[in-house]
Amino acid sequence: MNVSFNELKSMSKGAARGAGFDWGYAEEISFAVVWLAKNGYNSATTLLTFLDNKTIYPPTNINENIWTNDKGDLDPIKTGVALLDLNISKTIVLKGIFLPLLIVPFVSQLKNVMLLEGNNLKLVAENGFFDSKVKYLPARADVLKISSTQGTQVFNKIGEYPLTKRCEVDNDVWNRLKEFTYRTYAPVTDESRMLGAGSGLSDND
Amino acid sequence: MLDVDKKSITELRDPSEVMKLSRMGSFHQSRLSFMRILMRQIRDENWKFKKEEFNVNNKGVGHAIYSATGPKNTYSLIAFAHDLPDEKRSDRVIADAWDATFTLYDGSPSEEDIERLKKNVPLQEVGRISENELCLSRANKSVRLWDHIISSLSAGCQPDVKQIDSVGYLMRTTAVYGSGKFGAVDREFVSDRSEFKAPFQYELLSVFMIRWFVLDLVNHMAKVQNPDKAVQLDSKLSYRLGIGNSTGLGMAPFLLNHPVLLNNWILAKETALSRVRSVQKSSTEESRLFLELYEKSIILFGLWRSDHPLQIKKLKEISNDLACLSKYLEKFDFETTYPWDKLFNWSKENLSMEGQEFIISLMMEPYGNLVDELAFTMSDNKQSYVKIDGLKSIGDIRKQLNEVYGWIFNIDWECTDSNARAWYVSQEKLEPRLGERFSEPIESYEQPLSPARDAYRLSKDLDNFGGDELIANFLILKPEHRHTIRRLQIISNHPYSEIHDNTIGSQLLPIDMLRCKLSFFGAVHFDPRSDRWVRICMFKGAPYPNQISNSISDYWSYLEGF
Repeated sequence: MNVSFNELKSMSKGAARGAGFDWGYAEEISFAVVWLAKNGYNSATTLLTFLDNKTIYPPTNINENIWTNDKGDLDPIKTGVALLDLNISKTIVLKGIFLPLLIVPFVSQLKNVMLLEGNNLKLVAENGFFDSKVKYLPARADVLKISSTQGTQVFNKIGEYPLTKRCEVDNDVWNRLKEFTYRTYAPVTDESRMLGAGSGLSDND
Repeated sequence: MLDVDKKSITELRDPSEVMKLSRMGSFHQSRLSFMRILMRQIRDENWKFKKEEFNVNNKGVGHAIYSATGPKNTYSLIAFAHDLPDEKRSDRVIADAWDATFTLYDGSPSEEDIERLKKNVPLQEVGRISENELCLSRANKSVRLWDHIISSLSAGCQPDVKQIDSVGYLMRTTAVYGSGKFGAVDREFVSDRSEFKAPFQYELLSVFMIRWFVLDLVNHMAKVQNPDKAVQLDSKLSYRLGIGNSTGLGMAPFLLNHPVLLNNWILAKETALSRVRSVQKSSTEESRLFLELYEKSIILFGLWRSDHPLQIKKLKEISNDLACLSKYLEKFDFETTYPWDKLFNWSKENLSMEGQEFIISLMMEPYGNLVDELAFTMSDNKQSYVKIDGLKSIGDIRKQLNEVYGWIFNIDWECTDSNARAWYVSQEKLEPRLGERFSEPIESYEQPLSPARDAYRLSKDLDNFGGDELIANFLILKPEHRHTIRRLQIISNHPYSEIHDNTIGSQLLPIDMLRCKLSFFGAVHFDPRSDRWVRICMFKGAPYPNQISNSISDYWSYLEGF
């Protein structure tokens, strides 16, 4: 189906919350999903893959130069958010990262223009990160190096130049995201039915 | 030339005074209300309105198209009229059938567009609109007034003015959905158009045109009933009709979810007030206009009815205020230095909040040249992502929190009354609801609409960390505070962005939040139906689109045409 970015934003936030993320992270997730969609990526599907995966972790050592978590792959949202919170400008190496595409929206918000390189990522600065040929990123990267690059702008800063005005989402993906969002809704009780909206009065006049 | 003392222009009311819900719930429409802004714009830019098609049959079923053309763009209201059985008429947004449904099309629709919209606009939830449409809305009749007007007009006479005034509208909208809802265009792709610089302009343009359609429909149906005898509704009576709206809890969280927008609205109004208070000398014409509109307001307050005890109490207060004010104004020396500041200060000492806020709106009226430009500072069109500055130390954050949320420490958060309510979304209605935290199983579904409580919890957790630690590190360990840290950083730069009250306390009246928002829309005649939903009237007193000319008054909301 064809949805507006605002619909995608609400759905992403609700689905992230339904999957158990704190509200602050749910806000970050909805930002990332919309940012990617504006760059022409099918980010709703990426979000679903992300929410379905339970075995990813935040980086444990964000004050060092190599970020990792001994328990398993890094969570791209929590990693991207930490990179941005710290306004990283030095070189950081991420070891084992799930869905590396999802950190890109956060890296794009950093003050310095950053270069992302991975051993199984074919994203190089001279092509521009958002070269339209780069439609798919691997589901995980063993290593991802993030470093400041001088000179030409490699990122398409989406705030100013959205590549598209709408988002095409697969119906099944949308329905699965709805299922996640549904978990945030409270089951109805007699009391809530009567009092919740202040009903019990006729709407008609 | 205006005599404004530049030195005192900076004096704005303190957020701790303005941002209390009891005061926000007493706001009145003003020159900066979005309907007033829209009407000025379409007058000044000489917009042209046209009935393009009226294809409604004898049963009241069909569609109509009305166009609005400004300097650059044309917009078309497409209205669908339905034959709704009485038992299906409900204002709730979760209803599935209405008397009429509408969309505002960006441009002039083709026949294919009309066919596509005919299959979608009348449906709730399953209906989809596209990036060619700006908004979607639905409306129901006031059956009582509709029947009265049809029976009068079809018998060849005009309806009873008292009956018109007792309801105030022929149809009321349920909601007007913009901002990409149901697939409409995202606001960001149209907000750079000059006609949409102020907030909610296209939603209100559609309501303004809906009012025209409703008038045509009632005249049409009266004629159908008695083609030989029926007369048209007298234009003086038609001015008295607005478009009603029922607004419930769905709108209440808006002010909490859009802190920058809220800030921009209130800041514009407070700046306007400050500018007017800074006027050293009022001209005879300005004082005369103020007094004239004051007299008209007395009539308007007389028409304001409500059955709800909360509003009855407020109406009593304002009636006392008006008596007191009238006496004071009789002897008031408008030639005194800083007359408006003097009046403002007197009102603080002598009037209820309703009265104080009424006077504030009224004293802005003669000063379009000081106030109107502020309309274009009221949007937050960027609504961009706000990154957290994680390099701030815990000490910095603690200081910031004490500065902007100091008032939360006056609330006893251990007391059950302070936590009595929780905001949630119900499975059944998919709409925001307010529940009782300690007697309903809702806490695990709580929405983040209690910034004061959350700031308090953050302050408690910050106490367990050293002052030099970075907030980025704290957030890795305590991600549950992430939304509060972001909010704190937004609020710190926007003085009027936060409600200075507990939004989950047992004393909360959600209608205060609704009234604040609706007053900025320009609504009048607030009639709470409970502590959680309110009926209002929009565009009452306004000319109809086909009567717009450059001579229409700025003061239509004071029922100039009556």
